[in-house]
Amino acid sequence: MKNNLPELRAERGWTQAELAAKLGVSRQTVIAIETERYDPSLPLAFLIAEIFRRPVESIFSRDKTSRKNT
Amino acid sequence: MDTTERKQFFDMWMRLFGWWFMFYLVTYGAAMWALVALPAGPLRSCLVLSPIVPGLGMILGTVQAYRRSDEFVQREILLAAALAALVTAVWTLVYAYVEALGLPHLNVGFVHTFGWPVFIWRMVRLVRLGA
Repeated sequence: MKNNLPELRAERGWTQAELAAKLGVSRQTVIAIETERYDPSLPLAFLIAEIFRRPVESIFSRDKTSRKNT
Repeated sequence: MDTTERKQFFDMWMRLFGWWFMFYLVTYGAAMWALVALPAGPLRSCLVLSPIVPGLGMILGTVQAYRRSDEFVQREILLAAALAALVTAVWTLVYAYVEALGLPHLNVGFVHTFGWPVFIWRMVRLVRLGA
């Protein structure tokens, strides 16, 4: 799954540690999501959307090239 | 990972797992020494059995770390445990056949010396993700 979390975070001037604290997760988790090594659970994805005040589908999108999602 | 974050993580890791691991290494050495150097008796029995306590402590520490972690870290801990179990299983299977060809018969306790390093390597890899 693709996401634009790094861009959204940069727009707000938040560090990875600050975003992790807002989400209540470790910085490793934020890094893993941003680098698309890990797809968050639905509750975490909705929490991310809530924090950025955007619909979840504007942050996460299906990566059509990934075999995982076919 | 900045210095404060690194120290916090190191303290947490030492509290949950590291002290048990160091205690385990000491008792493991003592048990091996007792097996070869001491005559049968209560002291030898106590030393040989002593790694069980820190061994259980390491497992308990892992469970506590799992319960305190978020979803991604929990997944990484499960993957590390699964990989460690897989390596242990392969090692056990291979050695069973290699032993039949003439290698010495080993105590079953030796198999986990392959599993724990794999688990620890995966955990170090996870920490380095935030470096």
